[in-house]
Amino acid sequence: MTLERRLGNRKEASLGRFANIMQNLLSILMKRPMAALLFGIMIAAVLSAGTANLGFRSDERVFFSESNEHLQRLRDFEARYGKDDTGVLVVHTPEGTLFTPEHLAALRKMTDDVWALDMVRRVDSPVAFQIAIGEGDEVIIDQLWREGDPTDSAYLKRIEGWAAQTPLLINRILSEDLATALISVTFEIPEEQSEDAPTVLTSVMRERVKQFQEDYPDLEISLSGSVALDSAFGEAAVSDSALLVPIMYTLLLGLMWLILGSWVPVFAAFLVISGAIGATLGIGGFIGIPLTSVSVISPFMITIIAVADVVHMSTAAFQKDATAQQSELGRERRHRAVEAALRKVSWPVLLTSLTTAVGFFSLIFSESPPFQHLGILAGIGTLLAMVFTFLILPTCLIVFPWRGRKRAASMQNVFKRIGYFVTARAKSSVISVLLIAVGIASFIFMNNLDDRYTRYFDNRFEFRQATDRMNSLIGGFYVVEYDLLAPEGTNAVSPAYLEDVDALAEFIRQQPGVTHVANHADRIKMVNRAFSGGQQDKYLIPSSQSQTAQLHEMYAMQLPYGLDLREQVLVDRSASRMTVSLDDRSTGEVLSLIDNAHVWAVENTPQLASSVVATGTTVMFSYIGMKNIENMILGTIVAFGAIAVFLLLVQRSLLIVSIAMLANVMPSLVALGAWGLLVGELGMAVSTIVATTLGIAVDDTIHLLTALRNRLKTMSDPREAVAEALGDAGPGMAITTFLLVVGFGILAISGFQINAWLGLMTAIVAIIALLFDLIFLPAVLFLLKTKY
Amino acid sequence: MGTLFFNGSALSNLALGAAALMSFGAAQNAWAASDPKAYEIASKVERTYQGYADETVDAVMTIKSGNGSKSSREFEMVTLEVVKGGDLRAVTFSAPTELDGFVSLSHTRFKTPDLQWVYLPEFDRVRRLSSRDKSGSFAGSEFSFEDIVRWELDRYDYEYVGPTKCKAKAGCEVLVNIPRYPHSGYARLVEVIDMSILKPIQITYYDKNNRELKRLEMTGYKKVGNGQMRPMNARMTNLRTGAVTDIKWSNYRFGKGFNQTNFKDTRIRDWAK
Repeated sequence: MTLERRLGNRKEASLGRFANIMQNLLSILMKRPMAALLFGIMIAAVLSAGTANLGFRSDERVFFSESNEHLQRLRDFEARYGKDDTGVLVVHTPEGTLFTPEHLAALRKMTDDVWALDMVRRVDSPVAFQIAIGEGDEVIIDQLWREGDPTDSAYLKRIEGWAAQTPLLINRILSEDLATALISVTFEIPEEQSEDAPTVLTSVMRERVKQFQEDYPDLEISLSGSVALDSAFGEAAVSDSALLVPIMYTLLLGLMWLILGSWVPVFAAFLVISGAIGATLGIGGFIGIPLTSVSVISPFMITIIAVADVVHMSTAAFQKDATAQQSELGRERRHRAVEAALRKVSWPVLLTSLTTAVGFFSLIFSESPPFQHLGILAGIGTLLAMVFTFLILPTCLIVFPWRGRKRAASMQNVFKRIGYFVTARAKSSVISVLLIAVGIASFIFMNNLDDRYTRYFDNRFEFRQATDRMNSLIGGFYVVEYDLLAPEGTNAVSPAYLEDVDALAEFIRQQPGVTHVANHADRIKMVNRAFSGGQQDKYLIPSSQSQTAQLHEMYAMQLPYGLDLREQVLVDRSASRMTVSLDDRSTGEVLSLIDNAHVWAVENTPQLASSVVATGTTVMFSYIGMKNIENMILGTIVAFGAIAVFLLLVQRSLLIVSIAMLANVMPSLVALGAWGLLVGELGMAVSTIVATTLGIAVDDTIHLLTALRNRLKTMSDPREAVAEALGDAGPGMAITTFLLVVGFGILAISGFQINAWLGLMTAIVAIIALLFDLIFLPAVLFLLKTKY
Repeated sequence: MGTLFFNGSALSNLALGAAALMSFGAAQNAWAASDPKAYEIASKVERTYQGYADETVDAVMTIKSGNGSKSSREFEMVTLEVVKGGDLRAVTFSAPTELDGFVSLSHTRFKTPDLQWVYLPEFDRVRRLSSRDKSGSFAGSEFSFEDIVRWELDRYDYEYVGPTKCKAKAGCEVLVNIPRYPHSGYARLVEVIDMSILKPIQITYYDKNNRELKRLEMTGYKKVGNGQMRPMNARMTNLRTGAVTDIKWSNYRFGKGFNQTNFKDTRIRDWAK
């Protein structure tokens, strides 16, 4: 079989009916260009109407599908203990401790002030902590310090001592050095307000913080917590879509104008991109896909793909008529040039759009809905960009006069020379490329999967700065929750159960990164000590069930509204809650903590072991990365298969298609390997890289193979054919890759790590894929000649 | 009006309180910030009551949290009316078993925190509890400690809202009570009074930020003991979390002859027997 045959030079046979349908469509298009343009604009306008229905979700839960077991477990937990939507004020004094008259008054004032905010259910603060202290026959169960309480140094020393001996306080909401306090506000957000409430509450709280900071200049106050996190997701989406998209849009259109030298295709591209983005988001609105901080970048994909389509088609038209480079053509000749260009590039444009769309659509397999949404929107957008390119660009090129810029012959020569160079040392080229690629790719496993979600936001986000401060001063942003069931025949105040809880808490406290473990055993111990006269040797769990029950009842009776025990112990006392606070830990470390705790519980507290199953937002994010990889393996295989089938439609050789697929999978693996060497940290977005970049990278390969097939029609020398094909397709490949890298490069400057890394990774893969198309592929194609 | 929970009717106490105040000539001061119309209604209610000296009642309380988790308590409560000064109250639990004999004793005060003692039978020890909060949950229920401390006239200012529709023949009136105690958990209590029987049938509690917090409904008013009207059921619903506490009252007894000595902290053990 000749190379020519391998490349499937049987266009009519292989494309069959599709080619005919396309041919018919194209001829209609050429007969009525204005109608096509209007038709295109009409479709775009109608579909864009759907944007009115477009919702936006900024809460972190959107990353988890309804079927996600960890989300379900968290929902069950919240149904039992309440949902923690919190805003956390981190209050720090750079000098001394917070136990001064001024600082205590400030803490009190702030605590009472935030209580008055809308939707507040509970406020935890050191001064409002219901401490239990025993002094002889008296038991003091009261808030630590209130307005009007004494401020003389003897009294402050006294309550400082109370605080210091209360483990439920220290390192949970008051740091051991007494210099940092957390005022944690828990909101009860009604379901119907869940979309807007976090942003609104965060901005209200930020205003308070600003006011507090003015009122108390000696303190450093900042805002973290889950509502601030949700708000940051929203801010990220706004800055990416309102700032980066326009920058990229302008930059790409400007570059296009520089490259093509005419405003006509730029104008057409503007129409195509606007139409495709509007219509895509409109469809999203119609089918009920919410925008999220991730799917909000779909306009990036759409713009970049649309620009590539327009560049390919315009260049073909400009090259068609040599005189076009000297002067403007008349309408007749523009028409002929466009017709010829369409004949030449419509098939590759269609095919590359399909493969790109398939790559995006494969994200439907992702575990995380925002990525599914991104895939659906980018996939639809890719297809619409192609449709609008066909409907709008030809008309523009026919109607408006243009002057083509001749592609520098030198540029073509460069690629030809690359072709000759590579084919001259084909074997060593193939081997060295593969060796280098495999070598770099082997570092993939140096990547650690880490989805610590505060790092999704870089330092330009107020949330990130505040949370880093919180994590370094006291910890507790990352939290692991347990719902510990009391075994049959006991309840949450039974000594046996409490001893188990206490032992588990003690084990977990010893684990790296754990800053605090809140549990009911410590509460009972605190109350027992208070009831038994206040001596430290009574800080223990009484051995009688009735005693613990009575202590519990006595303490519960004294808790003010909003600080009751319902969120710690179930009303029927069938279970209690254990909350583990962590400092800044990777999700990998969280997972090993969870595993260690479970293994330890199985061995040491078997009665409790079955409920030592961690839950919480931190836990969900800890599992999501790996889960996403597992799901995307299938998605990637499906995309791989579908793209291979598309390639087979044009290139009937299984061998060539296999090599082409290899040349396009390798770049993402190499990029991941390089990432392992240079960065070493990956989040849940990583699993989507291989499939989506495959769809994008394979475009250049399609253009190269198409060019080679065309050259083989007239050339018999494989070396010459390969080199000439590279000369034909190379400049286009380089230009589109350049535009791709610029486009995704701008995404890489996003402050939102998921999107930035997605952009950076895609840009890197695009460059490596181009190298594969310029070196590896020509060399292999040349080597295959020896087979005949 | 807080006492509705225990002796069944805020207004019975309101009336008593009003009577007490007037007889000591403190009325003008106490009502200084109140609406005369609200006071007039209170006075009307007052006339339907008589002093009872002491009141004993049995209760079964069922606590259901918003998630359906349930538990129950049984207790006996004895209240001694003290004409000059705050009332005295002893609550003795009998169920669940682990709380059998647990006694809470309280002396109501006007402007300072209440005096409070507990007796924990399993430790056989008495402790004075020092706390300013009255919004603490009563035995884990939706009723707060403030709700169970007997209503005292002096503790509130009053506003008149107006008539409201209800099933009662004589219609219903709405009053607002505004607590004077700075550590109260409430900004105000909105009370609906059945004018036929001159008893409150519903109270809505507003938190310190003036947001609706919970609602108390009293049903099944019956004449008990020496002709006093008492509700047989009280239901407190937390309007935010959906948690509900039901109390079934039974066996109201009056005038058993308790005196202040019975309520001394040194005698607290006697209640446990």
